[in-house]
This record gives sequence, structure tokens and C-alpha cells, in this order.
Amino acid sequence: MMRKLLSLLLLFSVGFTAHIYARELKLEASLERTRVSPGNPVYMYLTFFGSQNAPKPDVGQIDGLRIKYVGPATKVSIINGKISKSISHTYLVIPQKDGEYKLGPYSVKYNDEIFVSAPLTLRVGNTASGMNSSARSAAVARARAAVKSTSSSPGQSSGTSVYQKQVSTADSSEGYQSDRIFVVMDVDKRTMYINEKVDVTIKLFVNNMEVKDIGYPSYSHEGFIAGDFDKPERTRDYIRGVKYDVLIFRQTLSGVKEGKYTLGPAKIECSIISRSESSRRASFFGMDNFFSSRFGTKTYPVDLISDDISVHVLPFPKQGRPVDFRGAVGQFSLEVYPQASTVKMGDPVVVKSIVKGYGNLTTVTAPVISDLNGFKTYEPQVNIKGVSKIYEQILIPTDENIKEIPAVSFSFFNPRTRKYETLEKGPFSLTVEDVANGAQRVKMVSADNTASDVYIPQEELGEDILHIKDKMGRLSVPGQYIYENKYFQTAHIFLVFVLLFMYNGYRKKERVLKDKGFARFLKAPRKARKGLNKAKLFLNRGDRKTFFDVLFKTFQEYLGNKFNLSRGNVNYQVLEKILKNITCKKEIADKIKLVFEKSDMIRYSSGSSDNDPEELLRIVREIMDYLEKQKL
Amino acid sequence: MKKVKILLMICVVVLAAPLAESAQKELTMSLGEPEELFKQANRFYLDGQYEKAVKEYEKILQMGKQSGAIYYNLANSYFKTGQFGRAILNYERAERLLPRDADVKANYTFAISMVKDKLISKKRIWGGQLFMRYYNSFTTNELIWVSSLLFILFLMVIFLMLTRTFKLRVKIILPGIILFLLLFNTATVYYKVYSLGKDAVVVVPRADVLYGPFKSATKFFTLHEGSSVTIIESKGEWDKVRRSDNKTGWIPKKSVEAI
Repeated sequence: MMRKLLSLLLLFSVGFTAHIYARELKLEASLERTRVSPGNPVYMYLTFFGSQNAPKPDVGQIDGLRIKYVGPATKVSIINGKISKSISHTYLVIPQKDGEYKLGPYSVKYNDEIFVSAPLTLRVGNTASGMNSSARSAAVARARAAVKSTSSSPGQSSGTSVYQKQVSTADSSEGYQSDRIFVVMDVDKRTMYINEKVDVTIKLFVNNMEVKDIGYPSYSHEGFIAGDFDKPERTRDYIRGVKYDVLIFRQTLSGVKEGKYTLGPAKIECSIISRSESSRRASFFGMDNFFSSRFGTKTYPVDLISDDISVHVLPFPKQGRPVDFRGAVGQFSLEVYPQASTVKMGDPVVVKSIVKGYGNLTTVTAPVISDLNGFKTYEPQVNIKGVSKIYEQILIPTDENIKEIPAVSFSFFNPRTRKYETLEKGPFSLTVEDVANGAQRVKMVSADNTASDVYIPQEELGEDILHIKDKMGRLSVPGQYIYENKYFQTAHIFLVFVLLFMYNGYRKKERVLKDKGFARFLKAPRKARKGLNKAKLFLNRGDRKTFFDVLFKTFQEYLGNKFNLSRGNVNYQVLEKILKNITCKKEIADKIKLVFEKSDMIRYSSGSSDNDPEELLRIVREIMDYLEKQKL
Repeated sequence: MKKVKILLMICVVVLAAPLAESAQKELTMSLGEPEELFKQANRFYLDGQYEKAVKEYEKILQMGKQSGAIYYNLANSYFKTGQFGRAILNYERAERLLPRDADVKANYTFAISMVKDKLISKKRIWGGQLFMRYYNSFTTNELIWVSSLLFILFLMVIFLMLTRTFKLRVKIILPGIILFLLLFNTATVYYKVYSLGKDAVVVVPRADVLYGPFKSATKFFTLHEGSSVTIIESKGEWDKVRRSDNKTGWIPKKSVEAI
């Protein structure tokens, strides 16, 4: 079903297109330019109108020219409802020698019909290559012409361009020029003096094209010294309404000898990125391939070549040349600062000279001090800061009669005025003081606080070992060290024990503070001893009642503290359980019980004469001693 | 608290005992014969009788006593007699006992400049100039005392950490640093003691270093008087030595003398 529908659509399309196509079949040939210089390639277009399936015409080769097929480009236009389509085969024609060449007529066979183009004439000669008047204007003119030819191409004079795409390839070994990408080289002066700084500008124009891997330009500059390229500058320019992205390379040159020279041509290597469309033409509808072509890209390395430039390097005029002229060219100013106005004889004074301005600083030499009699000098130190060249000249007065630093002068050639100019500063007054013999200075500091050495004759010093020592010093035994000493070893071990002891004491103290029961436990024996002594005292006085009171109170308190019992809980019933837990001897437990019974008996019977206080005191002491020895 | 104080006092006394003992020894020895010999040797030196001075200084050393000044003066005497190897040897010994003495350093450097073998260089342990400066700036006993102080400090810090409240970070880092310094210093002491008797100086004008410990062995390289080597092995009358560029070979024992 789908196939049938497609077939119907196909038939309808064929019928429709047969109706609307203006089938005017013809082959046309055209050249990008008809006049070129040798080596400068030119495009030739062979365009077949009325079909996009016309094969590539065979153009062959012509002696003196090299012809390379670049590729096809197709176009469909709708003009007043009429569809016209064409295919343009592009060839790159590279002229190799001067002459007038006849290109064509070329023919192509299409639908068993032969179509023939008109012949073309290409004139090859040096007339177009010089660009002596203005390279830039010529290049722009070429660009304009190229733009014009694009807009007036067949089938596009009026109406809407549905699709146009041109794929161009070129061998990277060949130069490449087109209206969409080209290089223009320019120099700000065609006539210059030796050593004069001139600026060379090389511009890469790109119109609506993707370019990558752009290299720095290279060009011939024989007879010139070239500086480094500045960082390329990117800008945008319009040539007759056509927008170009422009990449500008700048470089400084200076001529080293007089004569006529040619700069360039400049060559820039880069790669053009092009969309692949090779398969688009094969499709009837073309839509699928159209879209797919958007995703496929090809990279074509190209060498873009500019026109060359003739320049003339002039020699310095002989007339009016100053004696101290050393080849400096530009427009400069001179500043001179002596660092001191009073110095001691033999002391250095620094004369700082600053040459500042626009010009070739490499050709600037040290300003000349007119008369250096009475001064000792060294090579000046040079420093370049921006557009200034700074010289620091050390002068050492060797004569106390010197009254001034002589004038400092600097001569240069000004290319604007075409005259030599001499700048002079000074003289500067200087007072030289005499110094006592033997005084010398070896270090000095200049204006920018950098220290520098002043070379003075080196004193010759004798060399020998230093003298012996008078004192023998502390005697020792070879190979004996302090760590072998027994006291030393003992002390360290002892120290470890001290700290362990201290730590133990600390822990005990901490426990006493935190644990009330432990605190009572610790104070129990001390308090008990005091109580027993007190009881003994009463016994000695014969006060038996108070003796028993104190004794029993001390006993109860001791047991209360020892086992952390409250005052009311200190009785034998409570203690019996505790004593069992601590595995107390039965004998001692019985004695504790006995003391409690005696206590009750004496307390409630208001003192019995049967009780032997000495014996009771002994039993209490025995119990306490036993409990103290136990690890409770 | 009283107990702690008493214990600490005992500790101080015990620690000070070795110092007192050595001071007592010094007093005893300084008043004895070595002092007289030293003065006599100095007099010989001043008179330009360097050979005699050498003998007198050597006598003190043979008595089993040493000091930096004795080695220094002896080195000077050897230098004056033209025995640069023995001079360097004794400057090295003097430097071990007087590591911060400018005179010793100056004379040692000057003597070294007389040595023909320019390969010689001070031994580098583990690399690093800072360590070498530390290693060479103290005597072995001074380093032992540093270790002792670090040990006491370590114990006290541990005690403080156990009895006071500190952040965990401090509890780890502070004792850690002290322990590291203690171990580092003790290792330095060990190395100093270990290298004693290993570092040696060539004391003969020229000595061939052979591939084996026998006279007919092939010559490997030649050392000149004053060159520093390390003795790595001994066999009979031969020492196996290593030069500063790690070349090793056998040399007669009498050609080198350990520092």
C-alpha cells in the first residue's frame, strides 16, 4: 500500500516538475579573473543549467597552465514560480608562465545531447602582481570584484536562492585565493631609511567561512631585521557591504642596508572547514542527504598568499652627519641625571642617561660624554624599560681639580624631518674632595637602589693556618660518653618512677575528691588512732565511763568510715554481711561482735566492773590492725 | 607533696652527679702531667720545633686523655711539618670536640685546600644541609644531653596530658613532636658514635687502592694524602675503604688512620 502511494507521488512529482521546470539546457564557462600573474591561481567555473546530473566536462591540460578539478556545486533557484537548477564544476587554473591562453571550448554529453561552452581567454603576465601603488586597495578591489561576480551569477539576478553551497578544495602545496578568504599584506612606508622602524601588517580576510589551524604568516624580508609578531588582533571589516572577519598580524622591520627590496608575498597556512555534500546530488529528493550533510565536515588545508610589496631602503644622508652619530633612527629625547654633585677622589659617581622616544631602540647607543680626562670609566650598564633606554655610566674622578661632569650628547637621524638631530645636556658641576691615603670604597648604590661593585685593585693577602691554642681545655677520655655513666642511666630510670609515683598520687587525690566513700575509707585509720589515744588518756585518768564512751564511739566511727556506713547503720547485723563478703577471719568477726555486745552491755548496765578496759582496748586495736592489713 | 619534692630533688642530684664527676676528673687531670706537657709542646711550637711539639702532644694522647685544643695544636704542628694528611686527621678530631670553634674550621678548610684529590667532601648523611649543620654543630655528649632533656620533657608532657584537660589534637601533636625530636636526636647520637672509627684520612703521600687485599691485586685508583675515606671492612693488614664517589677498594692499614 505504501509502495503504491509512493509510486503515485513519484509520478505526480515527475509530471509536476516537468511542468514547472524551465528546461533550458546549456553549458557556460567563466573565469574568476581573466588577467593574472604567474603562480597566482584562478578559478574556472563550467556551469550546466537545467540539470544537476550533468557530468564533469573533461578539460584536459594546457601547456603553461595547470588545471585541477576542485569539485561540483549545485544550485536550485525559484524565480517567479519557475524552478531552475544547475551544477557548477569548479577548476583551479594555476598559470605557470606568461602568455595568453585559450581555455575551451569545453563540451559535455547529457541525455545523448552534446552541449558546448564558449571559449575563454586567460592572460598571464606580471602586470597584476606588482601592486606597487597600493596593495591594500588592489586587494580590496579584487575582493569587491569577487563579491560582485557572486551576486550576478546566473540564475540569481532576482528571486530567492533556495540553496547554494560551494565546496572548494585545494592542494595545500598550492596557493589559494578567492573572494571569501584572502590575505593582504601592507607596510606603512614604502621608502625608508636604514635602521628605520616600519610596521608590516598582514590581514587575513574571511567571509562566512570556518577556518582553523591558522599559522603565523611567513614572508621573505631579505635586507631587513624583523621583530617578533605581536599578538594577532581580531576585528571585522566591510568591503562593499560584504562582512569579513579580519585577523591582523603586525610585525616591525628595519632595513639593514640600502637598496630596493621586495617584501613578501606573505603566506598563511590554515585549514578551511567545509560541509560534505557529495552524496546529496545522488538523491532524488535530496532532503535526507541535505540534513546529513550538516553533520559531516571536511577539512582542507590551504596556503593563502598575498601580493608582494616593493620597498626602498635609503642610506643616511652624508650632509650634516654629527661626529657622534652611531646609527640611531627615530625621534628621541634625552635626560641626564648625575647621582652626586660632591664626591671624594676615587669615589664613583653615576651618570644616568635616559634616551626616550619612538624609534629603533636597538640602534640607540650610549650617549657620549664629551671629555673624560681626569675620570676613570667602566662600561655603562644598559637597561630597557618600555620606550626608554637607560644608561648608567660610572665615573671615578682621579683628579681633585675636576670641577664638572662634561656635557652628555646623543645624536640620531629623524626620518620625519630627514635631518640629524643632536641632544645635549650638561655640563654638571662636580666637587671632588681629596681623601687621606689608603681610604677605599668597594660598594656603591645607584639611584634605583641597586648595589654594584666598584673594581679596585685587589689587596694581596697572605695565607697560613691560625695560631695554636694556649689553653688545653677540658680533658676527656676518648670513646667515653655520658650515656655510659651509671648515674646518668639511674637518673633517667628514677625519673620514670618519680613520674609514675606522682601520677598515682594524682589519681588518688582525684578519687578522694570524687568518691566520698573512698575519702572516708582513707581517713578511717587516722581518725581511729586519734580516738584510741584519747580513750587511753581517759583510762589513765581513771575515768572509765568516758573511756568506754570514746572507745565505742571511735570503734563505730572507724567501722562506719571503713565500710562507708551511715552512723545509724553501724551495728553487727549489718557488718556481719559485709564481713562475710570480704572473707574476714571468723576470729576477728567474733571479736567485732564481742565489742558490740560489750558496748551495749556497758551502755545499758551503766558500767560493769567485769569489763577489763585494757583488754577491750587491745581487742579494738587488734581488729583495726587486721582490717587495715586487709585489701578491702 | 613533700614526697614529690623530695623525689624531684633526688632526681636532680642524681642527674647532676655525672657532671660533678666529670668536673672532678677534669680538676684532677688538669692539675696533673698533661697540662705541663701541653705547655711544653706549645713552647716547642713557638720556637718552631714542630717535630718536638708533635711528640709532646702525642704523649698526652697516649696517656688516654684528649681535648679539642690538643688535637688542634697537634694538627697545626703536623701542618707545619708538611704532613697534611695527619694535620687534616687531627683537625677532624678537634672538630668533633670543638664543633663550633672558628679557628678549627678555618685551619681545616685551609688544610683541605692543600689536598690533591678534589673528590673529597664531608660525608652527607641522609642529605640536607640543615641536618648536616645540626650534626656538625654539637659534640656527641652535647647531643646526648639534648636527648636527655627531650626525654624529661616528654615524660613531663605525658604527665601533663594525663592530669590536665587538653584538646585531643594537642594531646596527640605535642607529645608526638617531642617524641619525634627525641628519636631524631637519639638517632643522630647513634650515627655519631657509629661513624667513630669508620671515617678515616689517608696519612701517606700516595696510596694505591687495589681490587683485593693483596699486593699483586690490580690497582683501582689512587688516593693522596689528606683524602677522606670510610673504612667498611678490615682484613689482616688491609682495610676496605670507600671514597666519597662510592668507589671502594683495599688499602694497606698503615696508609689510613681512623678519625
